[in-house]
Amino acid sequence: MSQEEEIPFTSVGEEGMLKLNEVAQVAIEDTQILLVNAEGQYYAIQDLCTHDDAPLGQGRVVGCEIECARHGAKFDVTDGSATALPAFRPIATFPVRIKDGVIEVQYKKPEPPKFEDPRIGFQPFPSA
Amino acid sequence: MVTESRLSGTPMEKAPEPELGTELIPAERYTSEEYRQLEWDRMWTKVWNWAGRLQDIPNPGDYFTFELGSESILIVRETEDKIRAFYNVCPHRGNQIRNAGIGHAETFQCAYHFFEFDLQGHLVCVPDEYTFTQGVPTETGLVELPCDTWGGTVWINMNEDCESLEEFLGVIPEHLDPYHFEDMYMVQDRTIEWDTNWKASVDAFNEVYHVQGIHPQILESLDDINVQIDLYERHNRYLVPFGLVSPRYPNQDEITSSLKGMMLTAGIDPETFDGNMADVRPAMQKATREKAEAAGMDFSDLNDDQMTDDYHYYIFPNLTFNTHAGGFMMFRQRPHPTDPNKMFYDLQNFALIPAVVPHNGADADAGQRSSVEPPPRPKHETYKHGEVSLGLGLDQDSYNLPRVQRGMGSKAYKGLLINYRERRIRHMHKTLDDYIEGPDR
Repeated sequence: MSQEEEIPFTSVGEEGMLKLNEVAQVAIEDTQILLVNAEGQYYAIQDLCTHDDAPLGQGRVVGCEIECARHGAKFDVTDGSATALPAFRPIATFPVRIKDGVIEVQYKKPEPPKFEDPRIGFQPFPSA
Repeated sequence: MVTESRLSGTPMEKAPEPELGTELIPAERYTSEEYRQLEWDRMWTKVWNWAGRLQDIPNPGDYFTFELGSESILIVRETEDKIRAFYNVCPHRGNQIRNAGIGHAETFQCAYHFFEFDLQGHLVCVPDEYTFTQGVPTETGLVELPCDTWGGTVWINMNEDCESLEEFLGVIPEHLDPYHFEDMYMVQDRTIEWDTNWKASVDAFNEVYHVQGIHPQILESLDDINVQIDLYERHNRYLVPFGLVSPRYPNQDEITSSLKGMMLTAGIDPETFDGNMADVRPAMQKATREKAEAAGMDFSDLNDDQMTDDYHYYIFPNLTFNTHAGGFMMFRQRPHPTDPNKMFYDLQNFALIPAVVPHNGADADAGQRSSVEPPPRPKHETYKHGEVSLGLGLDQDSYNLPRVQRGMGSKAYKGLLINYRERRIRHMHKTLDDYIEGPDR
């Protein structure tokens, strides 16, 4: 059994709970997740706009994209990629399946951001 | 040549605040063809301009060009001790003598008709000279313009009656010589044609008020509120503290991932660091200095805050230095020759080469220079707006600036409403006014 398959699925609602282009906020552990019905499929993304690390809010869905209600950043809900500025970084996505009429999300805690020195122009110099 | 200042450290005193008024700054300055032409006639052709680095012309005959607006300037090392600047134009038929870039020449021979000039600009050969029945005037030669050096850099001025570079720079050498720019080598050289006015780009780097909107991720690592701003005669600076979280950041006790990134750079393992938030910045400063000394770098002229912070200098009209111990990033904004809605954004990164002579060391002599080779000179890369990623922070500015430019061109927009924390912008416009409306410098 692969490591991926060991990650459990969590029930988040009944199939049919969302109409096309609707979203719902659900929480798994301490992570806020948006369940999205885009193009007739369910997707789960982290409810955290990577522009300013605040919730996407009731973002509007068009096609497979969701637009942050606060500053207009857009993300592709199918893979989490940022498709419109001011966001640059992707958002976390989670696999979704329908089992016996129930929507299930395979939740894995998103990776914490990498440690990066934010200073523009700072030149790391060699260690001794 | 500008005298190297006494190396007593970068002055920290708060400069007195000039009275700059509070009125709107007219939007037309950023969008109109008339104002673009005024700037060219009265400012760009009268002011000292950073043209390039001495490291690009180490040997007699080496040259580089500097492109500014409609002009191209040829900067050549004539002898070991003499740098000259000429307009890059043949007096015969106006052809440009050399392509833009870096090169070497024994003489400058125009490729069009083979007029030839020596490194002093004197005409030395005219093919078929007898066919000029009127004669070739003896003064015909490359037209020279004022040129001087500071901090390993060549500056030019198109005003032949200009003040000295030293007078123009004012306090700047005293402030920046402790970083030893002359020992820093270029590690990145890019030019991006940005779809915005050159001043909109200058403005974006001269205030941190926009950090929460455009760069929210760096609230994790700097204080965007308690920033010392100093306005000098023409130039200005702000001192941006890094190594702490912004007062706007929600969790004031969190050692954020960005701070951990800075700790790693300083040589501290964030996973085993047992201090609290207040300990982070001093620990980084101490570790950075120790790491530098171990690597043979001399930071004895720099204070502890300079180990972490961005001492951010603006030299009128178009230079921004993000200055750090061990390196700096220069932004240079060059105007577009015809379009006020475009500009050239030069992005040059410089790194200090470790283990050169300790400047204040008692036994500093040439014999102690290390064998550390400087990095090879990077290729100059050119791009259109948005063609290349410049890193997250600059990509965010790059994304936003064309929107600013479009907005400033709207009939609904009257002018820049400037707050106290944005006063470097007002100061820049005051200096610009002095060139455009004031006594001819």
